[in-house]
Amino acid sequence: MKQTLIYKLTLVLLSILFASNVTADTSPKFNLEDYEGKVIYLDFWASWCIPCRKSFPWMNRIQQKYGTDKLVVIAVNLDKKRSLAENFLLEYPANFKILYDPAGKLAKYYQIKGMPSSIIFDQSGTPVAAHTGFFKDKVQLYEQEISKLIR
Amino acid sequence: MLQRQVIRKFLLGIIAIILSGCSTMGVQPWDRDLLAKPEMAINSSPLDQAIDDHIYFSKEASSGGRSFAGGGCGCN
Amino acid sequence: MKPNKKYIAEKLALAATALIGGAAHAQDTDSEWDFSASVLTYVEPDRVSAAEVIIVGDKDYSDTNKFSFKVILDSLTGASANGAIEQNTPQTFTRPSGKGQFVTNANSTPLDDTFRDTRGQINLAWTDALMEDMRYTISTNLSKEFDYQSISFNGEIARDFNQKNSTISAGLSFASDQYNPYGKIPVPFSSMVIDEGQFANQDEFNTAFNATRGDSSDTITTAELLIGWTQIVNRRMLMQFNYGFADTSGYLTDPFKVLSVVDNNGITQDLVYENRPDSRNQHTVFGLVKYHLDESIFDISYRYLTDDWDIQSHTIDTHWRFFTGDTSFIEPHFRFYQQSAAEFYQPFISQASTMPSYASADYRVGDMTAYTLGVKYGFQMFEDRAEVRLEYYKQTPNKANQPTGIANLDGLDLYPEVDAIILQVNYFF
Repeated sequence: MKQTLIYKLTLVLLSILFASNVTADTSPKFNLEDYEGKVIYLDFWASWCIPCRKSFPWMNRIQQKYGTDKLVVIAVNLDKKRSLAENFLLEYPANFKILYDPAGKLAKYYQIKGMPSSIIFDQSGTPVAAHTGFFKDKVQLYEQEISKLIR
Repeated sequence: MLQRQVIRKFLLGIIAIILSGCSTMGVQPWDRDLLAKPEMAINSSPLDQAIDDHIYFSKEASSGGRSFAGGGCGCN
Repeated sequence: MKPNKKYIAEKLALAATALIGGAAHAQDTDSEWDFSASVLTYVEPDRVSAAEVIIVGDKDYSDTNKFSFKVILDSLTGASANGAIEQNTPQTFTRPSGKGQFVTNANSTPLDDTFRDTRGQINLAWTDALMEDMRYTISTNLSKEFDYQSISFNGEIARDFNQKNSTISAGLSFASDQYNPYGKIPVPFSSMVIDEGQFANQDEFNTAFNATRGDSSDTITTAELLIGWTQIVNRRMLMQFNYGFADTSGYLTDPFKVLSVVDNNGITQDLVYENRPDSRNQHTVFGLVKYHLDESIFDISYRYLTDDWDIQSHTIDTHWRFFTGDTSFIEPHFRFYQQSAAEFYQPFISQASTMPSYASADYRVGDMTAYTLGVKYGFQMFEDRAEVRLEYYKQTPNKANQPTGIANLDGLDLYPEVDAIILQVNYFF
């Protein structure tokens, strides 16, 4: 009698704990269809993310190199205050599209595992590569993944 | 006998909850804005820390715990 | 993915070349040195004063590796209690070197101003990634002063879990110290030889003095283990728990400290050099919580220490940093410390009792309570950050006002308080 009660209680508590992790927001803030025919480099950044200071000049470089008709770089900002993002952009200007996601809905939808993160989509909108972190040593690899898709 | 079994299973249940709690404690990677601030680092004032460690090592009988204890200057 | 062994070997080689002079690989032109400097003055009124300068530099050599160095210079002046108790009459003591003596006034705590004066220290550390979510740090420390030197090697590994919400770390440290006191190491419990006119000449004094002197140097070795768990609780809060174990062995006695041997009337009959065990094992547990409120950050930590000298201590340390502008803050600080005496601590030796195996009257291993009250102000100076910190430290022995069983001693201050003012300036550039 006591035993089954304890088991039930434990089960209820565990399910409450795990349930709170399963909810995912299913409404992305941007439409993949808008970029059909183009490779998308979707980047997740914030003003407080130190490696982002290195990723921005590189993203400018690749956006310019491949042009907006072949590649669209979209950088999703996750700062809770817009002014922090704007201060960052003053110091590290972006010649690519910026989206603002202060509630983290898009980050949650794409199940981002670390900051910064990037996902590369091919011309039909299928995700083909994902990276957590931005490493200068891996810049060649990142660019290869993009150039392989653009042909 | 039955009571001991019940207690044991209850404790296992509690430990399972705590362990699962530990794995769910934390934040999403994009919610680390405040934690990213240098003031929120565990060792946010390393100069003060080093000076305090040195002073208290010289004036008291305890050292370390936070970082490595001892290592001597043999101070009075 | 390179096999781990090769990856580590390459990194160590890189570390070696970086330390010798200039990184071997393509230089990261955007990464520069970050420096911080600190100047400290520490003053115990009527006792010790110290001045210290610290310079720290660090540089990122790649995405994952960082090299840092620290240089410290400090200098002490003034006098420190030698362990003898005060008396109603002036007392004469021989300097530890055997050359010269000093006199302490009646009704004042005997203070000796002969001890280590200037010290230099250098620390080098190298951090790098071992694999994803795993880092290591290796460092070395070298400290040198007139009669003391210390060298240590440390290694630490850290591993992240749960999307870097949890981190487990483990570190090992080995230190080897050497003591070379001027005047050699005194024979434990030997009597201090004081020239009060009884020696015919200097040679006779020297012979008597040298009889109380043993080896010219001795060593101390320390091995330490530290295990830590850091956990992010929520967006505003993180905590850390550490367990530490330290094993020290060798010459743990203070060669400059003595004990007064008193008779039933409380009159000092003899002064003997102290003696401590040659081994000490300590366990510490530590917990820290940091919480970010809206316009401030609060932290509090607790440390408990217990060792085989029977010392137990509690330390509570807390800071509250209030942001007063974009670039300024004010941070009050409070620290509470309490320790119980080492089992061999005694304020004096009674002539009537038998000599113990170990004894020390050093107030620093006695029962005490101490508190620190301080405030730090951070601001922008030119284009860089600066901080000023002012602290007050007061140490009170807990055995104060305890009857000693010897009538004449009860009127004397056997457990003086010690207090100090600390002023420190930090600059980051």
